[in-house]
Amino acid sequence: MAQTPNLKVTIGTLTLPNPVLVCSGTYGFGEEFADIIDITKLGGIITKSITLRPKKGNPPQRIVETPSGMLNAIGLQNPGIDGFIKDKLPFLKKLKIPVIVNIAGDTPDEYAELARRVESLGVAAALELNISCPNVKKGGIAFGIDPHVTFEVVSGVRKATRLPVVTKLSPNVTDIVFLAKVAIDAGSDALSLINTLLGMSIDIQKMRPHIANITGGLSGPAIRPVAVRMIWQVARTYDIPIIGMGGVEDAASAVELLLAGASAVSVGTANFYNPRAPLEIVDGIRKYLVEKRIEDVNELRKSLKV
Amino acid sequence: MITQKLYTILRNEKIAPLYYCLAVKAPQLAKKALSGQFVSLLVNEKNLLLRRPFGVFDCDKDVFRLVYKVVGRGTAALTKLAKGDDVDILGLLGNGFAVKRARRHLIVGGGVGISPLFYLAKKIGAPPDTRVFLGGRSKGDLICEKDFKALGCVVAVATEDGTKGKKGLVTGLLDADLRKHGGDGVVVYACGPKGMLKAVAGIAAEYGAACQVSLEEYMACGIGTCMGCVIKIRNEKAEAGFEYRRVCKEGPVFSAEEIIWD
Repeated sequence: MAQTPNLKVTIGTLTLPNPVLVCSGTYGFGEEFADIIDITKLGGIITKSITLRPKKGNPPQRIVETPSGMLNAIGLQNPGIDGFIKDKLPFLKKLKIPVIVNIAGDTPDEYAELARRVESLGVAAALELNISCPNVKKGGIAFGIDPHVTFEVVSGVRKATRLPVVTKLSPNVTDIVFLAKVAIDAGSDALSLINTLLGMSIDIQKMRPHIANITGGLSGPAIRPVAVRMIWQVARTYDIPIIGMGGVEDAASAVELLLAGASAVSVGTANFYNPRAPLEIVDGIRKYLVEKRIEDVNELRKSLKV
Repeated sequence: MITQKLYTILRNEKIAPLYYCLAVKAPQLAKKALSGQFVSLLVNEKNLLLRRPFGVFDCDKDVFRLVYKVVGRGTAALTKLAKGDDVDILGLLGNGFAVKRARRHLIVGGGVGISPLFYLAKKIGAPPDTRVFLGGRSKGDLICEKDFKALGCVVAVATEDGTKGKKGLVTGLLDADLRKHGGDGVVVYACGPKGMLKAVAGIAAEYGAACQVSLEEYMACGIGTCMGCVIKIRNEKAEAGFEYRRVCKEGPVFSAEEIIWD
């Protein structure tokens, strides 16, 4: 058998050189990590959410460490689409790996407008729709847990762009399969599963929540079993490419999400404690495939025995 | 240039009841470090993920040193590291102090915030009119006093419980000095708890002294991507007259007058 298994995967019409991406909100627009690792070896990057107007974000304290995870309530602080074009676009244009631009709006129309504007920049290989941020009042999770608004947002974007559309779903729902169906019916080409789980943590000395926003999004290995379960539930029901995310920190956890049914994985919180994690995962997946005598990483999502 | 690397530990010694000094062989870090910059360490402790940030304490040829205080499980785990062990360090992070020509340099440190000021004092070179004011809850918090004295700095100390030096806050020492000598041509450099820094900024402004403060905030990435460690910075053009800026990236040293203290 071949010593170098195939790592190429496709997400709708988008081809990734390998199945390891980095999650929106953990990687900025790539520049900072480019100082530390060779980011051109990633399968691609998913940018921080951009909005139509600049967003200030939430007051601090914004983050707190929790057992095997962390809570954050950043509140989508970003320079807005114009700031993105001015300050971030030049770097991304030079990057030779796929860039998935994550967008977030206050209304369904804003998502469509952002989709049009981002497509016209010629830098995005795909769009990821953030309809699942737990830390903003408008848009975000309020949209992602409402099937009607989810349909409206996704179908509006679908009409506005020819780019592949990836909808990032919230795990804070009773029936993820139903929300997945809504996004697919509305024209989503792929799904990102999962965003953070709504959580809360209290400082018992001050008798106050750690986070100024009171609640925040839980990420890290603590949420991995939830991600695995939701990916599996959706993948067994619908034939749709899934970008799996939630606690991916090493090759073993990445393979777990691929076996659950994901076509690619995305590294989030682990970037913070181990900037080398995504590249170690690319190597580790390759090694795993060789050991298991599997020639193509795409085999994994069909290999789960239940 | 930021690197993530394993470094070999040369020493990990207790220097006061809750304080330790960690020395690693790291020529790269030692050569490039600016006073006021920081690094972040991976701790090997069950269920803890995030790196812990620490200011540069001292650099000497190949040796890079930092000082930490045991405040929780992460820093407690660090005390278990021994000579010969490896530790994963990400650095160098953030921007350092801007050492400017001045008539007088006043260095104000509180508790573990004292440690990043030592390398600064070394860089300033302890000219005759440099004064170091150290404060803490108790005498055990007055770390590195000897090190500053060895540089030739004139050091004054204060403790809240009166176990050493003047009883009270370190800001009292700063206030008395500025009242006597004036703030003209003076630069104040401070690191310590937020309450102390806010008071230092107020005193410096009162006497017209320039003031740089080094802040500490909860951090996840340390390199500017997570947007977790922000503070309010004045910006007349921004909505509501301020914007959130990152302590890890635009800081940790800020000009005191930029900061909106809550």
